[in-house]
Amino acid sequence: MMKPNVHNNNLRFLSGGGETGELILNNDWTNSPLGNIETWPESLCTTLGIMLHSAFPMFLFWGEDLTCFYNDAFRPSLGINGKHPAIGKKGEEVWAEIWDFIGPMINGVMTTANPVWFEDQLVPFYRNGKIEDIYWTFSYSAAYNSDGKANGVVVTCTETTKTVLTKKKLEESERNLRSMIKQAPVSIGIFRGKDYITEMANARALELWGRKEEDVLNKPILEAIPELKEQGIKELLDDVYKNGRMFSAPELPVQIFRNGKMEKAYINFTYEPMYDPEGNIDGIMTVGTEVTDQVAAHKKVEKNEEKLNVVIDASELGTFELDLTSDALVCSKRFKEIFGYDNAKEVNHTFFLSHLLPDDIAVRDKAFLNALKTGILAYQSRIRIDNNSIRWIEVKGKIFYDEDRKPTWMIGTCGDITLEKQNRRDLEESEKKFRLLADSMPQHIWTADTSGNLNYFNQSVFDYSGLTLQQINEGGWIQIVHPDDKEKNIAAWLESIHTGKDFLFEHRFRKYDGTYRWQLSRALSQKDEQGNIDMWVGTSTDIQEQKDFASELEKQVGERTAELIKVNKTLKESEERYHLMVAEVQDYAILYLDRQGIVQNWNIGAEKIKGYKAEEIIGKSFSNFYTDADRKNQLPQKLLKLAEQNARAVQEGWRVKKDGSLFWASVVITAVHNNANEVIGFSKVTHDLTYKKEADDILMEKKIELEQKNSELEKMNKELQSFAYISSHDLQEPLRKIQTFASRIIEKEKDNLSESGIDLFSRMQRSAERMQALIDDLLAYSRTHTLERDFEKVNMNDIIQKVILDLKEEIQQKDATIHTKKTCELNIIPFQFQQLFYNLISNSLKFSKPGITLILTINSEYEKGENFKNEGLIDELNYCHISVEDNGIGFEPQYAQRIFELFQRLHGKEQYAGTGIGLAIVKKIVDNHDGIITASGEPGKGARFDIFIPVMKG
Amino acid sequence: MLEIPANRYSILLADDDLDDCMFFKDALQELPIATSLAVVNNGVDLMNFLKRDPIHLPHQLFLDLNMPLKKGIECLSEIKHHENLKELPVIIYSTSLNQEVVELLYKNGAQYYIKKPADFKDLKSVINKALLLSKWEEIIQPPKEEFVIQP
Repeated sequence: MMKPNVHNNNLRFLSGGGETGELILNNDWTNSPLGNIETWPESLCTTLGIMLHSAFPMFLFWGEDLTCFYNDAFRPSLGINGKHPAIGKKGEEVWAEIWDFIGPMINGVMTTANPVWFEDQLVPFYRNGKIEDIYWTFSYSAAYNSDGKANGVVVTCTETTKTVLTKKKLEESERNLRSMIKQAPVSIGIFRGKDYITEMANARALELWGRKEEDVLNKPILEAIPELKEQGIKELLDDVYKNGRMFSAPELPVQIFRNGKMEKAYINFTYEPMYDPEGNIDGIMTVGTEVTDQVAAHKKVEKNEEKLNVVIDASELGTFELDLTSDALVCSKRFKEIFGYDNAKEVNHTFFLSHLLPDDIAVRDKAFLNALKTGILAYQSRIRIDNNSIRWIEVKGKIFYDEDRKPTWMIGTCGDITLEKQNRRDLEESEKKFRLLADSMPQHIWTADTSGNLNYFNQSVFDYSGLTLQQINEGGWIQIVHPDDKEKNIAAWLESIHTGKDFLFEHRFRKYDGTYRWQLSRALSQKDEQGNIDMWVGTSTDIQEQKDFASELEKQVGERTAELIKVNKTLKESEERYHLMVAEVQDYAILYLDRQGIVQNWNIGAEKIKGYKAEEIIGKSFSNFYTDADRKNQLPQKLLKLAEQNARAVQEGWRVKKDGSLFWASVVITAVHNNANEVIGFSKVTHDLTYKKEADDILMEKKIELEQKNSELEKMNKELQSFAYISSHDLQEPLRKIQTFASRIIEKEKDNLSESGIDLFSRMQRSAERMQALIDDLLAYSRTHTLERDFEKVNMNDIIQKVILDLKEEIQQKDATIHTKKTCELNIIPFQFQQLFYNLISNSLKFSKPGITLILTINSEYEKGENFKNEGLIDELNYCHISVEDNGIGFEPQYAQRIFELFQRLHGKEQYAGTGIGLAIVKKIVDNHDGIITASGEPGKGARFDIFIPVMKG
Repeated sequence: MLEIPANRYSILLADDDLDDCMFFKDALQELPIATSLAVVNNGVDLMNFLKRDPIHLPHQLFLDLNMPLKKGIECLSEIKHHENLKELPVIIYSTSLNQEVVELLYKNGAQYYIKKPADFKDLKSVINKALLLSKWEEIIQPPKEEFVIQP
């Protein structure tokens, strides 16, 4: 290292100032606010002198610009590629990135002169080409100039980055350790001091204790878990704490209050003393694992073993263990008993083997060799025991192997099965008997299990089918069932299996020679004590002969029936033909047509009517008898169709004879059906009605003639009516004028006329008046012929009141009284009835007796026809009876009929005016209503008219 | 052309029968009421007359039914359906008296019905009644029973 070249005494503070001292010396200070180095104040030089010669990292901010200085010790903190060299630069420029933090601090120190101190403060700044996180322990203190004013800040500092990071790592590793403990799969707890204050407990420990962290932490553990005190835990802890002896216990049962109750927990745990640096015990660490479940599990195993022993005892099995390497045998008391010894007897393997019957030794040896291979021993053999009796034993065992798969020992059981053997033999014997019995039966006998599988067949089945048991088992019993019966057979069998109902079925079984015979199979379910089906026992019996007999019977009945039907049919057909043929064969053509209308037969009547001989027409279509026009319209076909649909078709029309001439035929075509009600043909009956047709035609002509006459008459009638109309209008007009002129003359020329002239005029006037009356009446009469018949339901009295109103003046003039009594409603032509009453009332008024008040009585009521003595009435019919009676001059009874005749008058014109039409009109109106009118009278007493109108419904 | 004097009670007669027109005129003259009469002789003339000056209508129309060119009943129907004419009182003046025709006319809005009487005295009487009834009572239509004026 070069030494700074210091010539000036003033610059001695720089000598020995190292690299940084040289940098200060060589820096060009000319343009800096501090000026040339020679002009620097004493205070700055002194401060720099102290700083540059210090081995402790130091930094100085001086003057107004806080110009930066530092010493060699500080230099490494600026790193490589960083701020160095920063000497002579402004503080704010050098420390730009942290100026926000240190700027105010420097200012504070400068103004207050109070130092500032930080420890392990993070101050990241730019060095080594990047911003680095750097920790510092530093102090800021004021530097003074010569007049005692703070003019700079001295920073004394140590970079503690490494220390801080190491400390952090330590803390982290401790944290890791703790968290390792916390997450350890065993429970770990640390108790400190003689009161065993819980310093730490991991989650497992808390879980084991059934406590929460806050329940135990920093508390004496025996206070936090008081139930432990009584269980000798304190004594254990004390022993560890005092004597430094580790305590360890497997499956220690501890009562702990957790999950809301006192629980018994089994714990494997250790207590280990913990030492302070001085080697004194200051705590205990406990490490434990809860093994409650495991303990419970092997407790269960123990229990099971116990149970097994009980079972073995109960089953009277002897047990043994045999060491296969030494042949040493350990056996139970029962084992010895089976062989006829008491428990005290010392036994070994060969001793037992000596009891085996010589015949059975081979059986045992074979089983043993086999056991060495498979690991399982099982055999049955006989032994002779000391009282010379022979017994059956059953031996079962299991071999255990070592790692090299070498058999090492065997455990097993031995049972006395003498009784079972005996029972089985008895059973076998009985079964043999049964089989013998079953096989000697001619019927097929079989059994089936509960799912319907047949598992036994007697000999009869094999003999019949020619199949072996194997063949039946392989192909199933169904193979011998006739193919047509199989499906139903299976269905019926399954039905029985499912429902438990008896199986009863008829089917054919194939015999060994390939023929089939009918069998009746029955199966009944066999039930155990609980009523569950145990098996099925079935039999099949040959019923071929019965079947043959039945089917023969059936066949014979069938044949008879067919015969009968045939006879019946023939009878029916011949009967029908007979019927058709015989009927009026003389005058009728009777043919039989097939379905297509082809003539099948021909009778004399047909020949006579149509002219064909049988041989000419049979086999030809019946349409030959129809006219071309009818054929074109397909009438023949239509008639057949109609007959088919309606059983019969009837028609009248022209038909063609062989010679081409026409005749008027009445034809009836009847469809003929067979037994199945199908149409097989038609009978056709034709009658020649030509003469009748001619008569009908004449009648028809007459009818037409009549109709013509009728319409002519109607026309004439109409003309007459229009004449009546014209007479009423056009004749009245001049007539009226004659009257008016006459009245004018009489009025105006009265004075110029003589008495006789006036009289003549008056007569002329009266003549004209009479003529007018005549015309009016004629008009009214003609109107009664009108064809318009507007019937209405009307009350008689309503009409009478109207008429009375019309005749008011006349009635007043004659001082007449009209009484209306009962009334009726009638369906009538209203204006005609008005006319009727008008005429009758005016008639009475006209023929009233002078000087006597006219009294007119009109009554109408319903009555039955039988209540009147009148030939024209029908007894059962209801009538409205209208009577009009007066006390006028009356008439001679002999005129009772005549008064209704047209223009009939009983009095001279001078005496009583009138046209003689009024009552004729009345009669006509009554006629129009299908009624009857009678008149009766007595001269000087009065007249009476009785009208009967039938009451029509609706 | 016919004019209707404004100051008198004006009557229009539509009738093709000249005799009847004369009788009507004579009868009017002999009545104590001061009237003016105009006469038309067929239905077409009648309708033209009325439509020519619908403001100055006659006070009453006496209408014959059986007229050439246009029948009285057609005229009535036309008048009663015409906005300006429907108020005009129409008195049927006819030779015949057919009940059904009478009904129809009443229904179509005729005011009164007169059957031309044979006697001149009666003629005067019915015309007088018609004038009085129509003029003084100011009714469009009387009850049906009073429709036909009796002498």
